Amino acid sequence: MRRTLTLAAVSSFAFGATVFAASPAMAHGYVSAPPSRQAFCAQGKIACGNVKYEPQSVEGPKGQRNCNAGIAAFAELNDDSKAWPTTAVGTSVNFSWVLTARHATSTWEYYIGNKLIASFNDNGRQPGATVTHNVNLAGYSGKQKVLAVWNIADTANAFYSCIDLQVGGSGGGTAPTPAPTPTKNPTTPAPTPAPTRTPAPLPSPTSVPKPTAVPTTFPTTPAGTWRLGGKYTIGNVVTYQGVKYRCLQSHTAYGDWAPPKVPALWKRLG
Amino acid sequence: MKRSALTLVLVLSTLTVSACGSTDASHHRTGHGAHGSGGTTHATERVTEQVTDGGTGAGTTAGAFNAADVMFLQMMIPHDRRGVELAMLAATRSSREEVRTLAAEIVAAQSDQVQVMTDRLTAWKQPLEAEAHAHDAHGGLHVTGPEVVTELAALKGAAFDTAFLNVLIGHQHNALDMARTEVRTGRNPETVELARQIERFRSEQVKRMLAELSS
Repeated sequence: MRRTLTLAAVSSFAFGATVFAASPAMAHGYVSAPPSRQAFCAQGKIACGNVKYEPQSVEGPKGQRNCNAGIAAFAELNDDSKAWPTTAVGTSVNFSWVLTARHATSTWEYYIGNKLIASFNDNGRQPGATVTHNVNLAGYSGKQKVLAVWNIADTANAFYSCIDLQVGGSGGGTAPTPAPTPTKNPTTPAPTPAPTRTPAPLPSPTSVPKPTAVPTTFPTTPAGTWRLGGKYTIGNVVTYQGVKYRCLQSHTAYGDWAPPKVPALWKRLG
Repeated sequence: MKRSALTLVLVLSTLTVSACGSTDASHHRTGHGAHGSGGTTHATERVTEQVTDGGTGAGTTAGAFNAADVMFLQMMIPHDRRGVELAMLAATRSSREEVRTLAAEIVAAQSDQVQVMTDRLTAWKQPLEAEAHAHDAHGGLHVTGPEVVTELAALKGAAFDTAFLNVLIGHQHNALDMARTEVRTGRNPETVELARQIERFRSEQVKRMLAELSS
């Protein structure tokens, strides 16, 4: 028994040490719509650092009024001169959150500048699977930066998201406006139009080399004509209605998933 | 032989708990105080390589594996099953073709991945699941519970799409965290490659879902 306990402790270290070294913080949440700055980062619609891999990790001590939770690695979130896309909204806005951990919550707060414009008190409850708040922006117009704060009930921390809005617009959708920055130094070059409609090259995780082998073990259907129910693995080439396609994602062809209908699974070759 | 197998199981059970704890440890980087200091205590122990290795002859899948590989598979199987359950809701409830298409891809890809992962654990003679309730001490917070499926099933149209996308984005963020941990700490080449695939495809899914939310 003693031997077993020793082994367990030893293995715990083996795993714990490696995770501790480089793990992204596990969790927890950010404003997904209208898209927060980190949501635009995660979409690759603006070039960002590591926050693009973990938009849910903008976490720091409560009481801050910045966009990055005071985390140096996420400092760009505070950079108002960066060409953050803005979202056109009316004066009634629904803010929705992605949560990867449903922490017991004290309050959800929304600020413009230092002014608290809305607060929702959860009284320490665990939030539902989805969280949406309706916030009234009456009295505000033009470009506004909203700071949304999720105050956790049982820790000293909060999660921070900044959302760039164009208030008084059409009231919905992501309308990428050129977003003038009126309060900024006039020598600042005009921001380039928000790249919402012209995505930047997709940032691929830096540590991920291309696959060099077909790694799956399930039986494959030899190349040939695509068929319903066929099992396909990465690299398989099939013909469908005279056109060749290469399989991008291993799958079984359930339902009517002919190659042209599911571009995530099949790449057209010619 | 029997004894060593039993020992390995015990080790793995403990590992599952420690994974939870060691993930907690990463919170300390940003000052997270919710979960105590469970992860840091492991650092006082010593490690020997052979303990965590699966070694050879464990099954038909070539290549040695380590405890991180096993835990990744054990955690990803239920995670992906839940993802498939969620995705299946979209066929009849979503009002958007793009959402239905994406959900169909998830059902296809993740169903197959669950089979691959299950077969691999079986070939390795490892339990298909981590010890029950291993994450309870952590509050089970990172798991999308069955009640979420029920909650979403009651919705339709635009309300469904907003809730569905937010839930699934969060669910896939957690899958990405697990996959990145496996890429860093796993040993079995096929399993590490599977984690890389998951990382690539689900990052793209998250992008598409975020775009869909605000369109």
